[in-house]
Amino acid sequence: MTDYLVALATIIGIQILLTLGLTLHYGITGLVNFGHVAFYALGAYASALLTLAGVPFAVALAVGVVVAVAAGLLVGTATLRLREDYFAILTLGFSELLRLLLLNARELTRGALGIPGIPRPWHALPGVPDHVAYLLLVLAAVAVAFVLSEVLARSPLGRTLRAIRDDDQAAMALGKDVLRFRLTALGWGAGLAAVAGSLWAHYVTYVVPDQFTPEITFYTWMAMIIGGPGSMPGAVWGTAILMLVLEGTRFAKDVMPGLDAPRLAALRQIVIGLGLIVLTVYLRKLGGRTRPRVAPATIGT
Amino acid sequence: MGAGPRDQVRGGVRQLIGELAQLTVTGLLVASLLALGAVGLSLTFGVARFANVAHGDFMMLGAYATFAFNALVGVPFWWAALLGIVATLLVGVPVAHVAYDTLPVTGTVQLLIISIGVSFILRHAVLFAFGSGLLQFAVPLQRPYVWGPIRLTPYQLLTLFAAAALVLAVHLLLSRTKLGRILRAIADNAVLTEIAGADVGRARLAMWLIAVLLASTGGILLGLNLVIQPNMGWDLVIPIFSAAIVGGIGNPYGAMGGALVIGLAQEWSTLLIPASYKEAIAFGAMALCLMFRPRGLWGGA
Amino acid sequence: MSLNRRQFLATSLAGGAALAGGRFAHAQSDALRIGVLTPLTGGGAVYGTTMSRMYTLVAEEINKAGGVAGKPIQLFTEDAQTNPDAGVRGARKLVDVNKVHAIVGTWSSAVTLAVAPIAVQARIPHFCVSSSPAISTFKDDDFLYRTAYSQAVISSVYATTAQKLGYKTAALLILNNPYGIGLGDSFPERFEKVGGKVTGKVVYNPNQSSYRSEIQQALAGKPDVILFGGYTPDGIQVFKEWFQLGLGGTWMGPGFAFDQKFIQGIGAQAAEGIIVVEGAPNLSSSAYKNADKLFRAAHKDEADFFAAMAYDHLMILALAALAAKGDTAGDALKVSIRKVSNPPGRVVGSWADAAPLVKAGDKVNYEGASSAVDFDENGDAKTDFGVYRIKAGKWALDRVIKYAEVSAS
Repeated sequence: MTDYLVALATIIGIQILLTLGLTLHYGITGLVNFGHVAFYALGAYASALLTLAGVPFAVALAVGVVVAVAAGLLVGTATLRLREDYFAILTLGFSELLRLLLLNARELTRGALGIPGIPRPWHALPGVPDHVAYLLLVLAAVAVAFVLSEVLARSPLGRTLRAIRDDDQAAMALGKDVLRFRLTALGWGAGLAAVAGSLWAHYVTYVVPDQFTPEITFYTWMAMIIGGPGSMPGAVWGTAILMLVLEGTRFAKDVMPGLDAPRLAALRQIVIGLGLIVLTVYLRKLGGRTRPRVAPATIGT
Repeated sequence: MGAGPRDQVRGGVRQLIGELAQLTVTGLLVASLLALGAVGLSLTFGVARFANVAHGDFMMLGAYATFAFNALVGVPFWWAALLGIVATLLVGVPVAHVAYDTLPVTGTVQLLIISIGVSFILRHAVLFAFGSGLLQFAVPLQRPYVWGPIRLTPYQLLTLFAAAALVLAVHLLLSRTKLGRILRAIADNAVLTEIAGADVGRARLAMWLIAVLLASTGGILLGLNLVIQPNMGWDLVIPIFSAAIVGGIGNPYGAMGGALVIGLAQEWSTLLIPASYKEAIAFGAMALCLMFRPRGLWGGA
Repeated sequence: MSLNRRQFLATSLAGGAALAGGRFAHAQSDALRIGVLTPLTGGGAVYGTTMSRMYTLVAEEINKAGGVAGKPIQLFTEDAQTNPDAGVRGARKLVDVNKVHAIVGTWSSAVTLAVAPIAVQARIPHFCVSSSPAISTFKDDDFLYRTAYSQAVISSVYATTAQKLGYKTAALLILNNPYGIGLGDSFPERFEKVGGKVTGKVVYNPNQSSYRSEIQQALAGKPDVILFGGYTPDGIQVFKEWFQLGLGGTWMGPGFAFDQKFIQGIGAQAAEGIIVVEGAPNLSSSAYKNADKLFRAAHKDEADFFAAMAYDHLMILALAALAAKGDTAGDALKVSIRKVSNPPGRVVGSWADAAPLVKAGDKVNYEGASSAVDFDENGDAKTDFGVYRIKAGKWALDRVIKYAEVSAS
């Protein structure tokens, strides 16, 4: 039983890193990033390929972060000038494009075969079982990421980002280089997602493009919205709640005999979809600042 | 006496033309299927001013509703299609209206997120009811008409004509009727239109009606030509958005044009790049368009 | 009307905790716990369901006869969903919560390759029915076994079959996944060895809106035969489009792609003449007869290749545990597995025959329902093959190709 809780905590921890990154993107800076899984995938694949080639884990992780940040800056430079919904669709398309590339660039990524046998960062630790040690690694990463994100959010940089989120025209009028600040936020969030990806790859020891679908992005969105988009602690416990519900329903089929596992899974997703809508609408505070309600007919004019 | 070099070249050119003809036909088919989704999306994007990522799922609903009447109840296909469209309207329009017109939101981003929730709910409700298997309408397979390198079955010809006819109908509606004028006015400036006394609420309902009608028809044709599965609409989100954006949001002819561009580009690209990268074409076209000509090829100001 | 977020979250937390803290399957200390990780949804659903049913039947039969050295067999089922991610999560639950002594039934190569490291790390045996060649070379410390053929082996069968039918050229239309790619890598050289020529190899992705271009590309070189490397769902889509293109051509492919569901999906007319190659059950063995009888009694259907393999997985594990005198630890089991399934020894095929012998300490050689299940050094079994042709909507057996014939070519 404890082994299972260790496994669950590890997965929650990795997902928290994703949610923290997305909170920096959307909660703080207002970037509607629907392609978050792309940075996750880049971190995972870079780390996997490099460690299999003999590179030490820490270096591989760092390279993964660099790759993801670079990708974020590239995509951002091309698309951040656009309207929010165009940006959202483009980032979604980008993550799908990346998945397509991972699937087809066989020579580099082994394509659909995936990369099995990714080594753990260590061979054996004295006294501590392997999976517990890995959980400790993940928790350490989460702690560092959390502190970093909180510091960032409360810093002058964070204040500027929130100002840009709320009214980018005003920020521009004040002389702020809005694009540069947005790119900074994009980079930081991408880096966090890459760390999550690397930790995931070394935990599961197998990566395949199918793991990196938009579903993960939208789970992250749900986790963020449950906890409240502008809040780092919210990111943590929002993620925990979401993952508990997702994993908990795995056991529900023992309790609810009428429904088989696929039906239960579908029901679960319907509930999550409903939750997403309800929470989005009735969440009036966005990171502490209440925004006025607007009739849908006048949106976008 | 073997073929001389000139004959070989002529043979090679003939083969290339033949291949191009085949690819063009396939591209036109794909374009027809995309167009029915893109036109509706372009309309709602232009009038309601937000990106409805659940639009593809209205196509899916049309296919499944028709399937239910056709394969499960036993109604002959054409009547089933009619019933399917009606059923989808009865479900889709209220869902769209409640989710997108009535909920109090603070911006287009929330509508975007709501549409993610709607997509999740629709897809998994269908999964719950019908399972994840690939389904077919109860119609016989057909043999194609053959004109040289061009091969088309009767249903495929129907698809081409139906798409063209429906797009023409929408164009006539928008340009010749009072409703069309109101919709175009809302797309231009919703507030002024309301002040001028037009019934914006009724017009929006009509807009959803048109969009769901087109989408469900598209979904039925999709199921007829290919296969019915819960993600059939979601899988088309990027290509449909691409077609609508490339064509210019708010312009149905533009959406058809965009669909032609995407469909043909996708198929012609297989002459140069592996077929597995086809889906990247739609994304690439959309990205290029948004970066260099955001209003699209046929878009107004 | 502003929903109190705290209320909503409190309720959901309580709900989640209630579900999570609910009835766990308590790990009994006195049972042989087997984790069944078959696909119950997705492309492999039909086969996963069949295998799952067979596992249940075998466990019932053995438990009725007193279990394994007094321990009952306890099955824990998780749906691998023909998806490696779901497979990994299922495997984690089976290993960490249910503390299973073995994992059986992974069907998709992608799932097997993702789950195998977990089994190896937990040091428990893992029986799969996947075909990717990568499984043979996987560093599994002798914990991973497969009772199915490798794509490398069936490629030889495809090659010789094509050659015997007089086909000189072939094209490949393969799915972009471990099994399809494995076939694409293995077939060309074997076909060339028997004098054939591959005119083209087209890889396709699942979930596309149209396969017309891929099909036309594959048929471009006017091959004598086209080798299909996909599953039933995409197969139905591909063949529908191929038929409606009216291009003609002869197709060849694996049984699990061209099953009854496929034939119903595209209709007998379009399916006419397709050459099907599938692992042939070990029809003459007493194990197969027993498995078939068991399956027919419960499900009114014959035991196919996958049911036969499922039968063998559980039989071998039970016999291995019995031979290890009830020791269910992974390291003890893996040594015992080879002892009971490989020669030398008295040939046995059913629990009734084998159990008393094993209990008495005699050396047995279990000959299975799917093959002789003599595992080579990689943990692969050597299966026979059946070559069929689809005639009037049904498979008609052309001939059986024994493993010895295949490895000789």
